[in-house]
Amino acid sequence: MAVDPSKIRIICIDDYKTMLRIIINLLRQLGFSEIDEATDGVTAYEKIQEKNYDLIISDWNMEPMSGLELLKKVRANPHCAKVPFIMVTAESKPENVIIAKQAGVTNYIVKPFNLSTLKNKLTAVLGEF
Amino acid sequence: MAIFQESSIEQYQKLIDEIGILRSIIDATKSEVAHMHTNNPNTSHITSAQDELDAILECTADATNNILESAEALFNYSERCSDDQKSFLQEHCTRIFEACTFQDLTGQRVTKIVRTLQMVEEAFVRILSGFSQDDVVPVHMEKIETPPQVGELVFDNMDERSLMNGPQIKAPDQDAIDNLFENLIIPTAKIKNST
Repeated sequence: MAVDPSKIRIICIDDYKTMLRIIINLLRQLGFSEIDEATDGVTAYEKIQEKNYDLIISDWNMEPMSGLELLKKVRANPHCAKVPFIMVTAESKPENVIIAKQAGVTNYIVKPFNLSTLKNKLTAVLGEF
Repeated sequence: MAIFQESSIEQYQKLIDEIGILRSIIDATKSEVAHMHTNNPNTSHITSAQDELDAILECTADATNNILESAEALFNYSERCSDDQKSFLQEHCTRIFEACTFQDLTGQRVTKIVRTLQMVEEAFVRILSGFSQDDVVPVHMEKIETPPQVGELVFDNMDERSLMNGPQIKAPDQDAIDNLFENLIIPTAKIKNST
């Protein structure tokens, strides 16, 4: 049975507001509408602890808390440990992919990406929608 | 261990001169970057490379936001159009959204360049301060640690800062990343509660 994207609660995190805007626009095109945002890992983690999200989409290269640090905190917190976490990042070295997977990332998208890639990854994580 | 043989003062002077030339090149580059200003009166006070970087990011962010605003307006308008027109408009809006990711990557690349220039400049200052023009003496350097051999996956205690390198010149595409990700075999004990 197909997932209703309008019911999926997503939080997007990126320190570049324009990138955040782009990702949210693309998600809306795919039918997602329950989308929260944050421009840093600390604020994002506070929101993640307060609300039950179905998906976290995060950049890696952020200060003061990187996407990797956020991922580790999320995976260490029983409240949100199982929430799917997709890293969307320009970091494309093999060691980045390895360490992210070791830390429990659910999927990995490299920038620049297109709508088709985003849809494929979301389908892999959430199921058909 | 001394890395320089105590040879003639002329050799040391030549080395100092070469380092001085490189320092001048760095200063000239910074000066040229500082002069590449727009007609924006808000940027007239810029003097440092860091300020220039911030201005670049601000300008490209403003331009990108303007583009996105128009694309969003077109996308919303398309809902009132016929199916064919809607499809046409939304496809092109999507391409605009995808193309606008340049702003994020541009910012990361420029940040990398400025950081590299700063590191090079700091290194030169340290080198220059190690020489005395009145009394040239050998500079003692600490032993360089042998880096890990290629193929050694020593990630457990890795400094996470070293993972934040930004976009690569010859970055692998998504298919290559997917291939690596899907074929990675991580010991169960190491995976942290992934679904």
